[in-house]
Amino acid sequence: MADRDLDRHRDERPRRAEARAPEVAPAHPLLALQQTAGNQAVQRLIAGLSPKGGKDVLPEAVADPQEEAVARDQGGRDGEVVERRDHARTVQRNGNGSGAADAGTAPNLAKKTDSGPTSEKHGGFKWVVQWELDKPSPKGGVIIQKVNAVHDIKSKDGAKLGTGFDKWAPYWEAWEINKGQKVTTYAETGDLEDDTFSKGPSPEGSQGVFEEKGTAAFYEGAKLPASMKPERKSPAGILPFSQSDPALAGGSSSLAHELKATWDGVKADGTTTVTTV
Amino acid sequence: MGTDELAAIADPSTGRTALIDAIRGLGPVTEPASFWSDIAGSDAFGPEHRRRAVVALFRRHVVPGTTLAELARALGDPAWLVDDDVSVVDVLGGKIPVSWTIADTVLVFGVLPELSDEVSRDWAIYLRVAGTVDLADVLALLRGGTAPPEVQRAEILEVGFEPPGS
Repeated sequence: MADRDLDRHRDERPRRAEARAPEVAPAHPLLALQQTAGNQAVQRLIAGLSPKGGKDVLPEAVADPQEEAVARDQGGRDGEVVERRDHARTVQRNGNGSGAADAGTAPNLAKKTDSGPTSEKHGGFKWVVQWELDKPSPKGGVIIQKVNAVHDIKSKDGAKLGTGFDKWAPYWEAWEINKGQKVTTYAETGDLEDDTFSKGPSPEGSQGVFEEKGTAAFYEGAKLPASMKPERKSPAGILPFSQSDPALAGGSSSLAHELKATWDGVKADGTTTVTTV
Repeated sequence: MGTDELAAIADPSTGRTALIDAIRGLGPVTEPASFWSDIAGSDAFGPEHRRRAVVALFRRHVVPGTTLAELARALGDPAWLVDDDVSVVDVLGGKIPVSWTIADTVLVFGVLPELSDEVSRDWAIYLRVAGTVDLADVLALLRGGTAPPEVQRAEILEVGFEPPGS
């Protein structure tokens, strides 16, 4: 009965975030103090109470049930409130790395260069990266990367030239990450070369622009799609591969993984300039 | 040691587990490369048996330092190898079990991919060969033909298997 009363009170509360009349007595004494002494005073108090000097318990990390309820009730329509909740979660994760909010958030994907990029005249290059999550995967999951290759390459007599990507791109490739891990199953065994972008040189005297464009995301809790199988002749090599989008739901923020190579073997000596994202 | 294992491997009726145990139980190389090539090319053996023979042939008879001419002799114009199953990795946006370098050539051998049996259909063997070699020259050499001297002398620098435990 008491719970139902509480719910009714929440429903009757004014919708706007800034209008937070204390119709319901706060469960936590800090909330009561916050309402009478103001946010900043309470935040200073919390910081002073921290056994580690306050830095590991930032004021934003204290959950405000009323804010949570308002954001929930408004279904995210009030951008300011939702943004504050997101900010609190970020700060809490940075604070001690093991908070309840942290455990409920899916890991994000990052890449780090393992070697390169190196280049060779007339459009040759190699760049190796390793994937890494920002925290261990609670359930395990898969990384899916879409790879495309776009280019404009001409021979010394002006004829258009192709590359080994043309038959395959765009394509999708996958890596698995085990439960409790931040790195791929390959890196777990010491093989850190998760993903290589490379191309051999185009013919002498050629000129061109070549872009290898990857977009990757991590899917927490997902299994390797059955439609993805290695195709040894494809640029994906031994990785599970598909030429159609496996279309997994959810996923972390997209991570760009791109390399652009330019060279001119007509007006210059064919030296290749490589830029990466 | 090894005789019993070789006998088990040469028996088409040997089961999967016994075959794996027999290959693992082999000691130093005493058998000729043709022992494996004969199994790989024989319809009397099942697909996985034949594929394991191909892998064992490369594991035991093709090591870093082997030249392409020596590889051709070891394989002996293999009936089990289709030209289309050999390719060169000239671009990569993924992963292979050997290093890809601009200066070298990576050859890929599909392991009897045309046979049925989904479990081992994707098996492949990767060779990184020193320098730039042309696939047509490599195939000619493997078929008992001629190739430029530099191709015949080109050394295999790295051998990789997919899957690693195949």
